[in-house]
Amino acid sequence: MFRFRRALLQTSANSLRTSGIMSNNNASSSSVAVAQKAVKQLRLEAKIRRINVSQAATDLKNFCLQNAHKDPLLVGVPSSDNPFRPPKSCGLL
Amino acid sequence: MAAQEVASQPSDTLTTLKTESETLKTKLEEERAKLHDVELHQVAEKIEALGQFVMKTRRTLKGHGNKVLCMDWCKDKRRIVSSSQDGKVIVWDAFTTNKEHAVTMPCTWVMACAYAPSGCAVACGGLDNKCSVYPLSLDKNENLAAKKKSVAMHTNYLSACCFTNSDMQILTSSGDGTCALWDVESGQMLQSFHGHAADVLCLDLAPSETGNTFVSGGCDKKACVWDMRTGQCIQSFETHESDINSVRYYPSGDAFASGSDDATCRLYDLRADREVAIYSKESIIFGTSSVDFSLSGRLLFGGYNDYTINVWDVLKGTRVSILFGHENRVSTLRVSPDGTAFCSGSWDHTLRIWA
Repeated sequence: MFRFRRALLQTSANSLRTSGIMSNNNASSSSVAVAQKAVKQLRLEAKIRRINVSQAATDLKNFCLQNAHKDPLLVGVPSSDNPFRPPKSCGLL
Repeated sequence: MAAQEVASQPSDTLTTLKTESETLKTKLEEERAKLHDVELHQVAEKIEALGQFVMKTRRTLKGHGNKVLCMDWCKDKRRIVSSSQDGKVIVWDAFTTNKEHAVTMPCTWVMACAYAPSGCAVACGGLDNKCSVYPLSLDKNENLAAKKKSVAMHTNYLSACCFTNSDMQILTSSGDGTCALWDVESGQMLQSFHGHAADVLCLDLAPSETGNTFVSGGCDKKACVWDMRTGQCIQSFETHESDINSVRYYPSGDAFASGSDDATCRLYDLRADREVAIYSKESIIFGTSSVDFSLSGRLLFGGYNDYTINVWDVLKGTRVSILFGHENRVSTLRVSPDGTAFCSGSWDHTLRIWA
């Protein structure tokens, strides 16, 4: 799958290169457009408001602890309450 | 003269822009670093360690003729849709392991499938570059393929799809490097999301309480958070060392986890705007294909290419369990809507329900 994706990417990249015969001007102005977009995006991302990791981590921790009792995979539930236990009976012993 | 001026300017502007780009990136890292006052596992030091976990395969779903690539749970917590390399999409009753519906797609490698919130339809796609919706009929004899509706059209393979909060809209990601939001009824593209520099491999919708955002991960090693209304990328994270195969929101919506070909899973907090944990071990050298959280967010399940599933303590950063059973790569993994079990799909042609 990994190699398959790479092959697909290669073909699409190749087709992009061969399908348009761009003049030097067009090629450089589109690189400029791409670079302008990248700078604009970075400026936007730089502006966002952030909180301390200590506060964020504490909130994550509190969420886990507050919801732990409701988490069947974490605390386990009695077999009678879990539709997937006990296992479907079949002669697999 | 004017033409000559234009010819000489672009390269100057390009260099200036590239320098500004680098400066902004450094500044971004500095701003993030200023708030990095503690590690997540330090905050979690005083919490009781998790005990031993007994999780076993409770059901095995057999029927696919080739690699299982994707699966999704129905909101009823018992039905599952799965898709495979051989073009088959199957709807199962996970309690009884019975197959309820089967559709053969006109393409192979059906890499994406999703259950509609109503439970009345499924969406799927892959190498056909499309996402199609099949209404599920109660009549077992009805030919589902006849009612198929083509919704999304990309210019490369469909890697993931997901209904938004209703049956009316679908979010897709593609090998063409974009994500898009579509209206199911008309097939119209409502919004497109550009910003990844390579194939987008995965996406996840934020929990409904947190509003209209979603996260995507791609071959460019970046995870991006998007505003669905404006198409804008709000935040991006680039700490993985290889393709990001899977992204999943933390249940509170304040963070998300990612799984990558670099053999690590990572946790990114959206309000701190940075990576806050890495889940890795020297002994784990194969890529993670899929990740999901347990209901409380304390456990992170990761399906790996070495056929195993590793269970991580999200807060402490340690591995609490390793699950064996699949006989080939684990390609897809989702926790059930009520958190009582999780399902894994594999290249060994089967799906397993664990609890």
